[in-house]
Amino acid sequence: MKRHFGLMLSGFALMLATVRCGSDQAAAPAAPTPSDCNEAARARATDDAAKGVPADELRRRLETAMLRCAEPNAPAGKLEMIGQVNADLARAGGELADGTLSGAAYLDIVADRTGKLSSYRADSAVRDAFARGDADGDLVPDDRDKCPNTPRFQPTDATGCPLPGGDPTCPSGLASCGSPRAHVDDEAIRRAFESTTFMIDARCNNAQPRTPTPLAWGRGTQAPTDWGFNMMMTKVPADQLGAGCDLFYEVEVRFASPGLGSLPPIKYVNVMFRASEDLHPEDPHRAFFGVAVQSPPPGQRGELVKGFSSYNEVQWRTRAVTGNQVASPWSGLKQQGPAAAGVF
Amino acid sequence: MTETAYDVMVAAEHFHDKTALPEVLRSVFTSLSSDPEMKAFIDALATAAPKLRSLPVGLPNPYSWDCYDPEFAAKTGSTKTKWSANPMDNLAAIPLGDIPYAIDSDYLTGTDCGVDTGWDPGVVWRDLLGKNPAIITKPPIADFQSGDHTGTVLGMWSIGPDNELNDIHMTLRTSNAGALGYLKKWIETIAGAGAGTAWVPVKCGLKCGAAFLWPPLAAECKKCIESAVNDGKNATHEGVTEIDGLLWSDGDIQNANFTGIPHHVNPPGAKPFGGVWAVPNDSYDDQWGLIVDRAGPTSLPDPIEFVTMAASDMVGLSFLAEKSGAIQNYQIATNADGHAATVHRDNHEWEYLSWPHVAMTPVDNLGMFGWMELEGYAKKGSFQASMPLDTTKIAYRLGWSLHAIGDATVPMHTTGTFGWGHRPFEDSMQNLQKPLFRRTSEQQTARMVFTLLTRGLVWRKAVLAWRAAHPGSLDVPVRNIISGVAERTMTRLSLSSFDVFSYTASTQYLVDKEGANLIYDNGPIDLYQDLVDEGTAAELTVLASLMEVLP
Repeated sequence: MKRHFGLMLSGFALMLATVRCGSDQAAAPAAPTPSDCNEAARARATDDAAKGVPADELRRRLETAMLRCAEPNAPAGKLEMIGQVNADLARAGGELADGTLSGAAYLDIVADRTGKLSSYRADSAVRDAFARGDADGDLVPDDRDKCPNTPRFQPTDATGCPLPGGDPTCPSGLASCGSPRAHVDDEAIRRAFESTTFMIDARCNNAQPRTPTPLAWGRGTQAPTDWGFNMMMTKVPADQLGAGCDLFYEVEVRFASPGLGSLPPIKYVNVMFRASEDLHPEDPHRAFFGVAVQSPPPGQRGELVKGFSSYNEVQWRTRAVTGNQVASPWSGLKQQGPAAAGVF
Repeated sequence: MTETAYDVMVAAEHFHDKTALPEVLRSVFTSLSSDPEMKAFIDALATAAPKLRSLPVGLPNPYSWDCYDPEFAAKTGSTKTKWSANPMDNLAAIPLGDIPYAIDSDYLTGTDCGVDTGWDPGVVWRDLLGKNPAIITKPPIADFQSGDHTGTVLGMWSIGPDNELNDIHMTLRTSNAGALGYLKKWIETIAGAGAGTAWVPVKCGLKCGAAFLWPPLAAECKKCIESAVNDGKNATHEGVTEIDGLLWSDGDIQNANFTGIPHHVNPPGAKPFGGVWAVPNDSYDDQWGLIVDRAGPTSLPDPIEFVTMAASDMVGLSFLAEKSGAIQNYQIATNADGHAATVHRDNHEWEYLSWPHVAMTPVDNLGMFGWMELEGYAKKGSFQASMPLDTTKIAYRLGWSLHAIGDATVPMHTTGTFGWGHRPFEDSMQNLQKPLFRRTSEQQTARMVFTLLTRGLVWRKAVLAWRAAHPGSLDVPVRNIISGVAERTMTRLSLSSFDVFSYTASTQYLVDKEGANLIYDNGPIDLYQDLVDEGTAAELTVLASLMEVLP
């Protein structure tokens, strides 16, 4: 871990050195760009981290410094205020993700910080007062703060005094007890965190792939001796997505009109094929993806076989997704009846 | 919605011109025409239809001049398309009414010829669109290659804002050079260079992002990634667990999931948000658009919106205002239509906080932007933006106004949420198009036309009242119409026993698309019908009234 962090420090040092060298070699030193300024701010944050500055403070300093890069002539106090709001929101997000902060308490922090920022921006008297000081960092200026020692990260009322909390039947200090915002389903939030993944492929850039067009589905061969259901769609060019970038074809199928009364009237199946699964990579314009019938795979691909075998109406659409999770828009819907032969 | 609106205009044209019209439809028009205001409306529709057809189609050339869809070759005997008398012509200037094929909804983004080979307008329209007096040389419709395809092109343009990647650019405010690089480096360290795609749980991503600033988390980041990469080796990934507006990337980030951010409007008073630090809802516009920290029908974000907020705050995901078309374009400076001008925010203000805490402009502004630009390109109308004369851009920008009307019929767009069942609801609406746009019998179609004309007249009267209040202007108050449709959506929902807002459906959609979609597939079709009809009726009025503005 330390070794890696050391590498990062070296990297930043190198970047800074490069910037400085560039300036030295020029006949007239180039004015620092916002980008240089941002890198310098990050480098300072890295130094601060190595010195043991707490994470909250580190974030506050970095946010403020980067705001300063973008707006060097901002009035005193403004960027510090915004920097702290952002640092507090980042901390709240982290604690919500870890489950150490409830959804209701998270919303309180968000409303408190964004509301105070809004009041700061709308009211010049608040701005002037804030410029004179906010010792406890509750974002209520000292000269109107009736509770000058509010603990950090604590939502307050307009006079800077902590809002009531700790009542499990009414967990929000800001929203009234009857409000939906006071009763957040924390279990549902936990499930949402667990259900969400990011696709990351370092080889992909952020370019958006084009949409594959669904052409036809039907029975077809998949290997010399195997056959199954194949889906044919137009091929998506991958040359703009980054060298070696993984490309996926996502297919969503909605089956209707079941052949048997015992089947559900509507069935959805969603499958992702890797571009490398294309049965005919030599075809420059069309891609073919198959699911075997003789030994149906588990999961959604198996469900696809069942759907193709037993429903009379097939409505499907396609899109492309890169390994970096950049997706094309979905295609239009393609409607077909029972299996046609000949999608080889 | 847009295609149906155009088709009704064509039916009105047939009635007006006393050309062939199924009896059941003729009797609808005849009975409604006894009302002079309705008769005038039908006349306006009839007059507008041929004008609309004469507008340039504005299409870029197709991705491919060849069609790989086997149906195309089966029906035409060739894979080659022929869009005009001159092969490989520039399509943009061709009149809408002369486009020879039905256009696919993914014409702009797809990888085929852009022809919808499965297009079928339904029983009544199969005759009406083919026998239209203005395009009499065309045979009655047999399939996608005959008839009048104005409706399909306008329908495709109305999707335009969803594909406008340039509308939203984002960046990781504090850590773009660090956190993501850190994450990628760990993946490569663990799985080897060229490891391919790793499916990283959002919690790992957050730990790694935070580790950039707080080294003690690096060990947790590594452990998290390690197990994710190992799990991923044997896992089958059957979909993408994507959340609108959330993407872990670096640099200047654009994504189709971001384009919907400016597509929301919260009608005034539609939902509560109070408390000591409540920010006024109308700080910047007379209505507010999406602001995630008070999303949803009760200002309670749903679980995926919590994830989005937390993740965006941790990694510092902010708008890149200067590059974001939405921010530059949808702050509307005029109040000539009676809506307050947007209180302008400079680029810094848009970028201070992570995007979920920034109030986006409402979708009626998006519609107004499209309208102002189309008038600018046409050099006609009272709201003209400063544009060069270019009639090939009119249909394209009209799509913005039509899109905004469509969004105003979607409950999740009128309560500012990308959760609460948003995706599964919209999937269902698309899947239920057949029953929603009743085209399978003459009787069904006649009932639909009756409903659309009756409701369209209400919007038409609103347009005429606005014109009367603004002497000398023949313009269309598009923001009033978009907002009005949104308000009606909320009113209609309040009358329904079906709760269209599901707190868990959007999370379920991530792992069980079928279960989530079926909630809405099995929902009340009469409610969906009602919402769609209102939007279609409003579009009908907008299309007819626009043709009074343009030459």
